[in-house]
Parts: sequence; C-alpha cells; structure tokens
Amino acid sequence: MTLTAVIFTIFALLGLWGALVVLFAKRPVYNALGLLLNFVSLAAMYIMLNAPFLGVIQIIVYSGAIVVFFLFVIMILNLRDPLTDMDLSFKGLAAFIMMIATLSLLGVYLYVIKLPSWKLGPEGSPARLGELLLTDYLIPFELASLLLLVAIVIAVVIGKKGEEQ
Amino acid sequence: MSGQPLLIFAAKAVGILAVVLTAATYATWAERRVAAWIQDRIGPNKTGPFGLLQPIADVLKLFFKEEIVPAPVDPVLHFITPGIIMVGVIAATALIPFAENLTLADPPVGVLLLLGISALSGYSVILAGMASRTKYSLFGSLRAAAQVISYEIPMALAIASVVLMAGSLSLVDIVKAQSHLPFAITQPVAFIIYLIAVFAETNRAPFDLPEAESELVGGYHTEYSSMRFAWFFAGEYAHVVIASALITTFFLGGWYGPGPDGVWWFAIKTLFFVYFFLWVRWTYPRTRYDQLMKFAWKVLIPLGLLNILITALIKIWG
Repeated sequence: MTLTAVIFTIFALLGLWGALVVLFAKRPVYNALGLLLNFVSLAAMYIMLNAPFLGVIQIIVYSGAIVVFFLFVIMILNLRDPLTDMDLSFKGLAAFIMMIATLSLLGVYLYVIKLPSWKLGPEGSPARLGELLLTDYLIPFELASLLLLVAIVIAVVIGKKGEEQ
Repeated sequence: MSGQPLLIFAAKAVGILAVVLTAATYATWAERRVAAWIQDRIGPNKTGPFGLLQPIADVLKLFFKEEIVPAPVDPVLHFITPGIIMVGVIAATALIPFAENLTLADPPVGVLLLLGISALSGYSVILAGMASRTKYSLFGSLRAAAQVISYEIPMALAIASVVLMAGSLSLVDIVKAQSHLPFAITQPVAFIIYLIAVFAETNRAPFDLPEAESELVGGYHTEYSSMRFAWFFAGEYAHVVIASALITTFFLGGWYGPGPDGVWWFAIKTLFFVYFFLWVRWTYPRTRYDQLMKFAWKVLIPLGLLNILITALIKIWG
C-alpha cells in the first residue's frame, strides 16, 4: 500500500465512524462531534483530491462555524425546554419560503449539470476557482448567494417575531 | 518540505516546536513579572536568577498535584478537551514563516488553513464547559462559543484585505509582499481590527469573559485540576505566542526589517507583541459581555467590510 492509500484509509474509516456516531449516539453532544469528525475527514479527502481550497473551506465553514452553532444550540436547549415556548403561527409562510428556496437550489443544480463540462483543472487552485466563479459559473454563484440572503432574512424575521411578543 | 531530506525536515520541525513551546512556558513567567512591575510589586524572583526557573517549578508542582475529576463530568470529553487547544497551536506552528528558508510548510491556501485551525481550537473551550456539567463552566462555554464565532468574522475580514494587497494566500508570499513597507502602515484599519479580534480569539483580557473569575469562578476550566488544567494554561500562552507570530507575519513584514533581514527580526517583533498582550491585560479593565458582542457586530464587521471595499477599489484603480 502506498502512503496515499494508507492516509486515505485512515480518513475514510474516521469519516465512516463519525457518520455512524451521528446516527447512533444517544447524547446530542456526541452526535455533533461525530458530525465534526465526518466533516474533517471529508476535508482531508478534498485535499487529497487536489482541491485544497474546497478542503480548507470545508474546515472553516462546516467544522469551524456550523458545528459550533450546533453545540451552541445544544447548550441552550439543555438550559430550558425548547418546544413549549415555540410559536408556529408563521408555518405557512415559512413553508412557502422554504419551497422557493429549495426550488431555486434545484435550479442551480440543473444549470450546473447541463453545463458541457467541469472546467476546473486538476490543480483546483484558489485563483483558478475564483476566476471560474466570476466567469463561467457566475449565474449559479450569484443565485446561491441570493439563496443565502433569503435564508438570512428569514432568520431575522423569525428572530424578530419572538422579540415582539 | 519538497527537496529537503526527511531527517533535516524532522530536525527543523522539532527545533521550531521546542522554541515555540519554550517561549510559551516563559510567557507565564513574563506575565507574572510584567504584572508585578505594572502593579509596583517584585514578582517571582527567588527560583533561579530573576526567577527564571519559576516556570519549571510550576510545571513540576502541577505534575505532582492530585488530579480531581468531579463525579458528574462526561469522562470522555473531559479527558479529550485539554489536548485540543495544544493540537491547534502545534498545527499552526507548521505554517508560520519564521525566515526566508525556515518554513515547515507553505501550502497555497496557508492563510485559510490557519483560519481553519484557529476555528477548530475554539472547540477546546466550548467542549470543556459542556463536559464539566456545572453552571459556571457552561456559562463560560456559552460565552466562548458566541465570542469565537463573532470575532472570527472581523479577523477573517482583516486578513482578506491583507490577502488582497499581497495577491496570494500563501504566508510566505504575504511576507514577501511586505519587503518594502509592512502592511501595518499600508493597511492600518485592518491591522487594528486584527489586533482587537485576536484578543477575543485568545480569550485574553479585556475580552477574557469565558473565564471571568469574578463572575464565573474559573469559567470553562473550573472543574479541571493538576496537569489537565496546566494544558489549558499552557495552551493559552502558546496561543498568545502564535498569535503574536501571526501579527508579525500578516502586518509587520515577518523577517524583513531595517538592517540585515533574518529570523531575529521575526523574534523581536513577536516578543514585542507577546509583551503587548501582557501590557493590555494588566492595564485595561474587562469589558461587559453585551459590549463585547455589540463591538464585534456593529463596529468591527462593518469597518472590516468597508476596508475590503476600499482596498479592492484602490487595487483596481490605484
């Protein structure tokens, strides 16, 4: 076995272990940590596939921010019961917005899939990636950022709603 | 690593690690001496000349102390967390360009990798409080989680302007772009934002709310004792040393300086910033928690975004 194969096996097993922990652990903290392990192993895979930028962004965004938020929520839920004081009167609106968001995400995927070929070279360097995002993939890129903006606005609206009552 | 024999590379790695960890150990001594000096006391001066053997005595003492693990803690998490902070610090050491030919690794995405490592080392503080299962520790963790996420954004924004200036994500290229003028002069706003955010990132006063002893006893490390506590303690000082080295890399031109360039300039600048960390801790009062969060979201982040915009415009038209 070459060194690359050994490293791949290690991270593949770690990632699988993390995924199993997410599914089967009883305590939410361990679920979150299993997810973290899975994300970090996935980042290692990206780096081994010559996409260092994607791998590092995976660590910063998913492992560094999103799992921290999960832990944050778990900590807060431990302090008080989450379901009793949740107001679900905006359900219809939320469902509608979620539907639009999902459909636009689907549109992004379809657009990307129907493009003739993936032009990212084998090197996958940040400069090349940025160039492609602002030329060939400009529309899906901007659509994705619009989707994120919608999500942020929804979060603010929901947060404000609780504040007024 | 390319082109070097493995043995030389390993020797370099061990040497750099030894220097950084020694610096971290002696930062604890410096903290006590500087604090004493600022408060018009003497400080530790009995163990060895100028008290220089004090850190060794401290570590020996902590080694032989009884380790107390409270019954309600989560044993696995409680055991793992003190190590995470040191792993982060040691991983970051590999990326720092100490001198022209004294860099262990220079990946094309070095800057982002550093941000990722710094994000991951935040877990030690967050998990420590959750594992302890006491209210003081939990509040320390809650604060740490919010603080780390909030201050990572202005930090990344400040670094983004530096990356724009240098036109590269490699740390060596960023230092080389400063061979004539350091970014502290050409990017003063980013420099100040980064400097402030780094205090929050390292949990140092005036932003040391996760371990505010007047409110939270010891914060996230209340339930830790003996060597496990020492890991947190050493990790904090190692973090300070690494943060100072990064300020030097990003904003003060690394190994460049007036007169002959070399690793000594890097050391002098880094040591100055380690002193700066201590100086601020003993002269500034701790901020309130809401002030801390408001300052990040309402001052530092808008300022950082504006700075990126202006930098980009100057890059296009300048």
